[in-house]
Amino acid sequence: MQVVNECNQVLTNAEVYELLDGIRKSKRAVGQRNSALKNLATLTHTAHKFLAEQTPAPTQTSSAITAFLTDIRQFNLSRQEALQLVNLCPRSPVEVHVIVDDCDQRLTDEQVQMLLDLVAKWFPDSSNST
Amino acid sequence: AMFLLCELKDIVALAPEKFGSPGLEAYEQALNEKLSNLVLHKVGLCCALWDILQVDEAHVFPGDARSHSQVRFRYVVFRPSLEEVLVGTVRKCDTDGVHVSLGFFDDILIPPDQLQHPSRFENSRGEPAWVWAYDTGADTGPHQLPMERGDRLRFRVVEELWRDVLPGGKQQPQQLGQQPAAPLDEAARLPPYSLLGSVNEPGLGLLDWWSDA
Repeated sequence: MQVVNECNQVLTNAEVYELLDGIRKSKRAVGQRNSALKNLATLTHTAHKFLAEQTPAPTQTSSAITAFLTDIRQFNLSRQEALQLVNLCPRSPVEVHVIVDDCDQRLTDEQVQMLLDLVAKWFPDSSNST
Repeated sequence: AMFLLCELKDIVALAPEKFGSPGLEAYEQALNEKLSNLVLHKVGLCCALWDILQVDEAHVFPGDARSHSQVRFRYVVFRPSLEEVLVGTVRKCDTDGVHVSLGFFDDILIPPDQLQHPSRFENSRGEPAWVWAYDTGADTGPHQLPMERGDRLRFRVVEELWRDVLPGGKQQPQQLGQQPAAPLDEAARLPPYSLLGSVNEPGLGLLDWWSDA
């Protein structure tokens, strides 16, 4: 086994959810009878459950994510911060402060509210998220 | 982010009964059998195959009926970034701190010095808990805010710990290797990949603590 590129790309939770959903639904879930694929079944089941129950991932479409990322460009956030906004869907200012480094110095209260409004616009609360 | 794609290269051996499988299915299965739910040292927890980029010409070796091909592929790996904020559930509380679970990954610890200050460990009410004495300045004294098994919380990843252990406790040589599932001695009781977290900030800790903020 050789690592060619330790981090070829980062993924949103939504993309991983979609992959796991596909694996679960696929007819090649013949894996469940195949004990050698038990690890995949375990991982898929537990990770899918986590993403479905503890994150907003299941309701996030790739077009909404792209639109959101475009709309937040004006705030000059890092890629990690932008990704966390997508994965965590903050609903209150304190949650934004936890995600954006030195938030007080980089964003005004109005900008924090604009961010929250954009989160609410593209990822409406299905009362499943944080 | 929590998940990333790692590009890997490996030799996959397919047994003859797999030779008739459609397309890349046999390679996909072989890679998932090998890697899913395993930790790759300094890479992370391997979850599932994302795609296959290239399969080289197959070779057959004397005495071995299997076909061997070098496969280049991308695998979904769980490895949160340092400073990243995650949501999880309290798995248990003990004197080591608050243990957090994400369901598919359990080796997350928030040590006592990374809890909200001041916090103390309590085991008197039947359910072990870490209790934050949150001083509001009120006459009635600080609010007692417990963290207990089952509570959902938000925490920040502050450190990654890698344990690379072979039988006999020897250090593994430089090459990449997979971790054995069963620990063998004292040092090996530690998991191959674990995280330390912190909740010592406004907005972190139990989700309920901040839901009106």
